[in-house]
Amino acid sequence: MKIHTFTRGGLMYRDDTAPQGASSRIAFLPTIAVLPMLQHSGTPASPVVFCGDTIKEGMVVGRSEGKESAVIHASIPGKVVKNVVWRMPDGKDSSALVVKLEGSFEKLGKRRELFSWNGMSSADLQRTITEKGVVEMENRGRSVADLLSKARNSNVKTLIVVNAVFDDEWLAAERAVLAERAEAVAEGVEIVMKVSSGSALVLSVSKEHQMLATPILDFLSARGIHASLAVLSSKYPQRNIRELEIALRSFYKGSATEFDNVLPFGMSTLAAVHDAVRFNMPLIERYVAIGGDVVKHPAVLRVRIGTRIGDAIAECGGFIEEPSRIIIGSPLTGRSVYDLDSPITKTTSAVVAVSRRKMGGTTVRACVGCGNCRSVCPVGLDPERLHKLIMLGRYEEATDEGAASCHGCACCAAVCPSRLPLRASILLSADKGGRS
Amino acid sequence: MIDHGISVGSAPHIFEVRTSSHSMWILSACLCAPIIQSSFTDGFSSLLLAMVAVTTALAMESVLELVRGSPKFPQNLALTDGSVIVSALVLVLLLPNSIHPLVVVFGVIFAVLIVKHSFGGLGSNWLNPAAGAWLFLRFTWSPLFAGALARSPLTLLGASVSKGVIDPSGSPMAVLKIAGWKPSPVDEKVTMWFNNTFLAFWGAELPTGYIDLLTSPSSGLIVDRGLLAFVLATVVLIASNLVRWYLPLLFAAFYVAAARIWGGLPFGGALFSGDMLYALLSGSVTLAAYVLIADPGTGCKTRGIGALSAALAGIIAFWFRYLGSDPYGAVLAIPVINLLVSLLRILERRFYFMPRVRQ
Repeated sequence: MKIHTFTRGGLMYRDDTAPQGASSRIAFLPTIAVLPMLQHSGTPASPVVFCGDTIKEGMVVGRSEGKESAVIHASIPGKVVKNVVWRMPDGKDSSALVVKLEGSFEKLGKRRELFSWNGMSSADLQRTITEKGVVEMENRGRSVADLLSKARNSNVKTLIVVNAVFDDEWLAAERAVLAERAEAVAEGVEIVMKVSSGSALVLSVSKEHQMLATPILDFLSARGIHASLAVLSSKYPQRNIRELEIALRSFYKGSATEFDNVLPFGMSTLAAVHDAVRFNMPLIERYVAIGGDVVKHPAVLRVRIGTRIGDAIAECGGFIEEPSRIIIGSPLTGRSVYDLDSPITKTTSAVVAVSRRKMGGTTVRACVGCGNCRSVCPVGLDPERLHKLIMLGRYEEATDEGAASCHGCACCAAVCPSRLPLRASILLSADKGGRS
Repeated sequence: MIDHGISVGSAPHIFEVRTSSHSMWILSACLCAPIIQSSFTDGFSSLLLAMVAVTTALAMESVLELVRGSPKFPQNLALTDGSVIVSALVLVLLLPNSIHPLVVVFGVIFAVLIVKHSFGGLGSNWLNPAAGAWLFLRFTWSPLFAGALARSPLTLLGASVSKGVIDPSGSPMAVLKIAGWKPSPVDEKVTMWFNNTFLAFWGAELPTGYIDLLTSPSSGLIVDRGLLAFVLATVVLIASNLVRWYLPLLFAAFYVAAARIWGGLPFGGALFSGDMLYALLSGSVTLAAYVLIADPGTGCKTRGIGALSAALAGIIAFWFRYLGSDPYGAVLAIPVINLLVSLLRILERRFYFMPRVRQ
C-alpha cells in the first residue's frame, strides 16, 4: 500500500519517554478541580455559579458567550470555594472556578443510559453537541458544533477526515482512545457525517497503526458508510492540517473524489461527540498522556477536566528528579507552565515533565548558518533569514518573504543548534507584519 | 503551589540536535588529533603552535568582547561557544610545523579581528576565518612560509617538474622518486604487507610512498603530517553528523575525477593517467573537503546549491593545484568559493525559497 506524505521538510520525531498509548487507566478523582472558563478558542464562557454554590457532576457552570465559545460543565460534584483569575499556559487570563469535591456523583459509577439518535435531525444533533461543550480536544479547541455547521452551510466540498495520524509520540492519549474506544469513535464519525453533510469521508492513519483502524472501517461499512483508508507517513508534522491536505490530495490524485477543503477530527473529539449524543454526557473527562524523563511511571490517564497537573503526575508515581520544565501538549509545540496547580483542560492532550538534560540546552547563541532550519521547514520558508529580518524589526519584509504562511510546527527551532526561538519570532512577525 | 525550579519558555521545549557549542567542542577534539600525530615527529612544535594559536584566539576574543561591552567569562557566550578555538586549530593545521610562532599569532589576530568580527562575528562572516588568515599569512610572509616548506616533498615535486623531471606513467610519486625522494622503511614494510595480503587478492600492487602520505615525518603543513589521525577523525565528523556527508564526497569526487583525467599531464603522463590517491592524500585536500568546504557558516544552505558549490570547489581546487601549480590549491579554492557563496545564496533564495513563498 502506498504511503502518502507531504513533499518538503519535516522530521521523524521520536521520544522514548512518552507512554506507549496502548491502553489507559482511570485516575483518582481530584479533591480540588480548577475549571477555567476559557478552554476553547473564542470568547470565554461566562460563569453561572459563584463562590459558595454547591454544584453537581455534569452541571453547566459556564455558559457559552458568542459564536466560538463553549459550555463548561462541572467535572466533579462539590462546592465552589473560589472564583479566581487564572493565567492559562497561552498567557491569557481566564476566570476560573475552584471546586472542592463534595457530595455524590450523578454519572460516575452509574449505568450509562443509551440515547438513540437515528431519528434526530442535524440541527438537534448539533444542539446536543453544543450543549455538551464538545470542542476539538487538541490545538486551540474550536467548537465542534461551529465547525460542523460551517461545513454544512458552505458551498464548498468538505472532506471529513478521521485523523489517526500519529506523527508525535505525545499523541499517546489519541492512540489509547483509538485502541480502547474504536466503536465510540466510529459512531462519532457517523454522527459527524450526518451533522456536517460532508461530501466524503477518509480515515487517515499512520503506517504503523493501520491495524487499529480496522474496527472503525468495519463499523462504518456495517452502517453503509463508505470511508476510504489513506495510509500516511508518521513524519512530523503530518497531522497538521496543511500537510494532511497535501498527503490526501496525493491519495486522491486520479480518483473521482473531489474536495475543496478538509475537516479533520481527532480520536478524542470523535469519542466526545459520541458520548455527548449517545450517553448525553458532557465533556468532563479526557485521556491525557503523562510522562517525560522525570516522571516515574509514564501512563495515559483518564482524568476529569480541571484536575491539577500535579495530581495527575502524582498518579504516575511523581517525579524521580526535579523537573526543569513542565509542558502542556507536545514538547515541540506545547506551552510551558510554572505551576503544578495548572488544570487539565479540554485541549490538554499531554503533560510532559522534562529535566534540563532532556531539554538539550536552551542557551541562545549566535546563528552559525547551518541551514538545518531550511531543510526541515515543511512550508519551504527560510527561517534563518526571517529570524534575522525580525531581529532587525523588518516585519513587513519578513511577511513578504512568507512569514505569515508559517503554521508553527517548530521543526525549524527543534533542529537549531544555536537554540534560536525561530518559531516564536516568525509567528510574532506574522502577527506584527499582518497588522502593519 | 509554585515550584521555583521550573522554568518557562517558548516551544519547542526539547531539541533534536546537539548545541552549536557542543558541536564545536567535538570538532575541536577532532582537529587536535592530527596536531598530536604531527607533534610526535617534530619535537612537539606542532603542539606548541596549537597552544599559541588557541591562547591568542581566546585572548583576542576576550579583548573584542570587552571592547563591545559584553559580559565577562563565564557569562560571555562567545568565549564558551568554541568557535574561536575551531578557527585557531584549523589555521594551525594549515601552517607548516616549523613556522615561527609569531606568524601564528598574527594569523590568529587577522582571523578573529578582521575576518570574523569585522563582519559581525560568528555566523556573519562571508569568508572562513582560518582560510582568510592562511591567505594573509601566505602572501604576507611568503618567504617565511616557503622557507618552512623548503624540505617538503610537495616543494621538491614542484621544483622537479619545473626542472623538466617527468615520468611517462604521469605519477607524481614516480617523479619524486626520480628526484631522489625515498620512502621511509615503515612505508616500505606496510606497503609490502598490503601488497601481499589485501591487494594480492585482486592482483593489484601499491607502489611505495603512499603510506608516508598518511604518516609523513617530513616537513609540511601540520594536517598533512598528521593525515592518518585526521582521516580517522573524519569518521567521527561524519558519524556525529557534524559534516553533511555529501559535501566532502562531492568535493573529493569532482577533484579526484579531474585529477584522474588531466592530473597526469603535468608529470609527463597521458590523459586519464592521473594519480588519484596522491591527489587526495596530499596538499591538505582532506581538510579542505571535510572542514573548510563543509563549514556551515560560510557555505550554502540548501542541499542542491550546497552540492553545486562543493563540486565547483573540487574543480577549482584541481585547477589551482594542477594548472596553477600551487600544491595547496585545495585550500586556495575555499576563499574563491566563499566569495561565490553570496551569489549562490541569491540563487538559493530565487529558486528554493521565493517560489515556495509565492505558492
